[in-house]
Amino acid sequence: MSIILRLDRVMADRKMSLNELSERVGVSNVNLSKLKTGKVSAIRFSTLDAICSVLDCQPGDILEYIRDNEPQP
Amino acid sequence: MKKVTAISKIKENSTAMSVLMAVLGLLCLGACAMGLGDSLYHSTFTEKKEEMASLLGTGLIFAACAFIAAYLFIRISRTGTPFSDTSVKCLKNIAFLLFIGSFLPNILLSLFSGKYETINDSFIEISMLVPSVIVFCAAEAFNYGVILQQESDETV
Repeated sequence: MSIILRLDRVMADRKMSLNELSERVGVSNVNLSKLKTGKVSAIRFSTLDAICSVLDCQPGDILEYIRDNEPQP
Repeated sequence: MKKVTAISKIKENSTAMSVLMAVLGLLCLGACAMGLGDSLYHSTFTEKKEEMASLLGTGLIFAACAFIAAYLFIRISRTGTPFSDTSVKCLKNIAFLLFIGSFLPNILLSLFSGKYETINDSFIEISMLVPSVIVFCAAEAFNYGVILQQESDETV
């Protein structure tokens, strides 16, 4: 998949744990963990809105697009 | 209706249906056993071979279908979703059993009488064949439901 999730980076920057984020966003630990490891195929706008609101960031901070033939950083 | 409410309703109803199907299956088996026992006890098996073939053929098939349906509803009551690979397999098994049941009584009758005989002048019972086709089509529709369920589960 070409969309990379940088949720772990933003969480580390904000010094927020998975449990705390899960509680504040209203998504289960399991689902948030899947999101963090990129094991989801879709994300709802409402979830993205809640995450950006809690982490005080932009969607572009969490989601990054990489072309298939480009090496991943 | 909210998703959580819908799932809890599905679980409740599936539990009730699984009990109903299990009881139905036991009743079918009981009816077969009683009919067979009665005809063997009174030595009327040969005179009543058409009834015996019909009773055993359809009774056993319905009992098997009822037990598979009970298992299916138990799985649904545990997971809260009817759209799974197990559900599709159970429905296809039921469709296959109903298809077998459309000609099994005539095969049994032919075996009991030692020559080719049919109960209603036709080898295939339409009353069992049509439900078999309908259940098979429903299984294919459930296949699509499985795909949608996977997409929903993978969406955060």
